[in-house]
Amino acid sequence: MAAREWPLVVFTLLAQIGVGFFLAFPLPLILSGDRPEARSMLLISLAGVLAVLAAAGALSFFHLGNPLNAYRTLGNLRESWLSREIFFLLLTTGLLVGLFVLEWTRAGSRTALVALSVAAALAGVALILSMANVYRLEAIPAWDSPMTTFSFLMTAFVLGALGSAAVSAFKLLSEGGGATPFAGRLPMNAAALALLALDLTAVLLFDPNFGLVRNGQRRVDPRPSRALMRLHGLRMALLLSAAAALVPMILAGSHLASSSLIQSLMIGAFVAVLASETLGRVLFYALFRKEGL
Amino acid sequence: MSAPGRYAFFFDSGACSGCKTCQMACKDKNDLGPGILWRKVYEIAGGSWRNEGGLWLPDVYAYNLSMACNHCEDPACLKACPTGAVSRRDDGIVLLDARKCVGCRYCEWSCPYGAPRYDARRGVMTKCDFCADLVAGGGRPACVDACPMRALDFGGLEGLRAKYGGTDSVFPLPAASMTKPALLIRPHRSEGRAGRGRAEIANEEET
Repeated sequence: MAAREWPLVVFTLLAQIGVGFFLAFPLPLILSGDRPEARSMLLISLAGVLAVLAAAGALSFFHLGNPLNAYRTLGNLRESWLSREIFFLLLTTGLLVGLFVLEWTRAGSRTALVALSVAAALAGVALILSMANVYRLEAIPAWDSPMTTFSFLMTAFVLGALGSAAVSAFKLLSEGGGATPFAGRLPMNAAALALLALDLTAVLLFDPNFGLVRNGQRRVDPRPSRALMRLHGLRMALLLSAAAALVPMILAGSHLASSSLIQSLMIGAFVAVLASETLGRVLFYALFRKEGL
Repeated sequence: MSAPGRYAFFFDSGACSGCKTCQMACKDKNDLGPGILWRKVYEIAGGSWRNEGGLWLPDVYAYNLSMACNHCEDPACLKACPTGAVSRRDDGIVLLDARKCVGCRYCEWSCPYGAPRYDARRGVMTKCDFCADLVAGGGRPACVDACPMRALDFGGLEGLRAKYGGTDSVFPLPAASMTKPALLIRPHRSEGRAGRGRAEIANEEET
């Protein structure tokens, strides 16, 4: 992987984490109704999502040879997925800023908050789909696969769900346990485990160059290098360990949600999946090989 | 000079000696810096040893492909470019306006012929413009004029097809259906073997 691709690795990961976390944490808080005790957490989490998206946008500039022309990048929305990706990044960020301001100033009705948050969620998903289509180039067979779209969505959903659970666990740990509005998020933990299992299975079977199922592929690198295979093995091990860490949480049920061990496991699972997805993205860029010249 | 339909390049792979005069003429005419080649000569090589009655004989082959931008009918670079810096004229010439380029290099990823090249000094992409200025004045692209073997020609796609025949997809080029290139190639006699065997681009680092 060329060093110049690092800003793109970090940009895609951060944007997907930002969208995924919004879907898993602030959005359910808004949709679940008025809960005064959750307001400060909602504002903090929205600010966190905005900071992550802003960092992603800022980092993407490091990939440009001529950033002064960045304002022109919305110039080909009709045909370019890259233009659309930038458009949806700006739209998602703009809607989230609006949401934050409405909540901060208490100026908006609940209907306005819900409408804005649903619009932001849809724009966020459109951002990830556009991002995946940027990479689905016919000239690069390893990338031109439904697995690219699937894996980008899974990065967002898995890290969003786990990030949400990890933030809840971190809050509980820092407060020394006890009940908070975020304790016992069993459905979210179960969803995280289900998504993780799905991600693990898909990577094991359908990863363009490492997956076990290789039918129907166009010409790609026949055999990845030993170093890449090792990194892929490490990635799988991290995903497996995260899944293993989640199981006690599900089995223990909500009555043990305040156990510090369970909470530490939750944070550990998030860190392991974050490392795994980062490795996966590095491997994704390392597979860059063009069909033709 | 009025455009004879869609402009295209013709290349006779069997006639090319691999001297790279076309490459140099292009660099000279367009004042291209180090590492920037709008026209590249690829050396395709393959083969092995053959046992003939207990005697091991070399059984190798090599041929050249001189490739520039193929000014495709369905240019991947145009669809990829976020700033609209790439445009296609009615005569088929695909142009890249470096003043609008943001330097994201996405056109470089998307082109299956590796035609757009990055100018690190200016931070923008550049590519072959078919020597549009020379052609407009009734001249010929610098690469075509320079070829000592007369392996390169240019003109209207249909006119070239009538004159030379040829194909638009030889090993290791991608399927022409991908971008519909304005290109005709008379394949080298070893092209079939290269496609079936394990031929490689021998000078990949250079190109």
